[in-house]
Amino acid sequence: MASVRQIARRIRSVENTAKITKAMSMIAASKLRRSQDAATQGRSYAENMAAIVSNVVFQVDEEESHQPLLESRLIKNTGIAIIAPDRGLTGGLNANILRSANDFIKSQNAPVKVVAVGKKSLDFARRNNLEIIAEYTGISDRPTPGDTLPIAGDITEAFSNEIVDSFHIAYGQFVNTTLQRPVIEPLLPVIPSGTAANAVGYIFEPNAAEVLGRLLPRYVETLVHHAVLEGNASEQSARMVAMNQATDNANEMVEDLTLLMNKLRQEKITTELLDIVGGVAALES
Amino acid sequence: MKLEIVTTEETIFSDDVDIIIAPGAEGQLGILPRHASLLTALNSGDIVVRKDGKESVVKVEGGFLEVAGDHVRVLANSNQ
Repeated sequence: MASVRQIARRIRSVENTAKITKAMSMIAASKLRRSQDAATQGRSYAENMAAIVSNVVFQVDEEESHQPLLESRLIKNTGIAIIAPDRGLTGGLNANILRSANDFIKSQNAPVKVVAVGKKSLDFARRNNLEIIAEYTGISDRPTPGDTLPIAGDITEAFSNEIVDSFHIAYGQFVNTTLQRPVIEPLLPVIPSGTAANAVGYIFEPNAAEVLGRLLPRYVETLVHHAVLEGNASEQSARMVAMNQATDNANEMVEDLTLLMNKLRQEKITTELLDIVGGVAALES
Repeated sequence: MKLEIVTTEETIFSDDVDIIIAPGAEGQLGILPRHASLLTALNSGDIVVRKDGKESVVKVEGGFLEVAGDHVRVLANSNQ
């Protein structure tokens, strides 16, 4: 049985842990605010971009304009960009993203190559002996287009050079503070999401090939940038919730331990008293 | 017609307007309601918007402009 002193020490240590997790949760909460704003405000751009691209892609004769990013090829190699946090302590988020990425990779018939964004993603790719096209770690908590452009650049390059014949992107989608969903979305070749019926007869300026040639790379950049923003918001919210939970658990543990300690102390006093009373009784008799 | 100007960071303009003058890739471009569907790249410059005789100016660093129906969308490149 643990002594009172041992329990007291244990309580102190748990209290310190609680302080740390509390601080981490508060840091995550303050970062979350900004990440969340960035992700939700960026959505409007990403959605508009997707709408325009899906309208346009129908109208363009593939042969005529020859856009490398629209080209559907036989899939000999496939690629996936996995966007995961750099750090852990995010509850189930990292595991969920990596598990869904793993399921996706298992379901592919072609060999899968990885663009790893975030340390956890890189660790995952190495652990599973996947071929890594490019790796990015240490992206800031406030990702700027400058952080994400090179990622999109590597992805389009790998696709254009036929290193891979299709590309997906996996990240944690931020739904709300308590819910982050791991998603896998197709990235390349660009597949229109609408139907031919809602295609608008566009006039292109200067011409279709030129406009698409500028629009499509930008579209990929947007999707990647947005995925990173969402991933960032997910990370912060997951960490906030996980650390809150940890703080609650620690506090609960402190309560339990305090109760145990008091009981033990009481018991000790009782035994001592009994000893004294017994001793006195023995002397008197 | 409805004009929406968005950048990767935020929506910088969203309102009903009477006329839009934008720096298209092929030169200045005036857009009135009922304009034909159009998709153009934009050069850096000012988008001038007029509503009820009042004029406002939005700076863009290139991007794309789409006219579809009565809805004009500008995807502006971020000016950072």
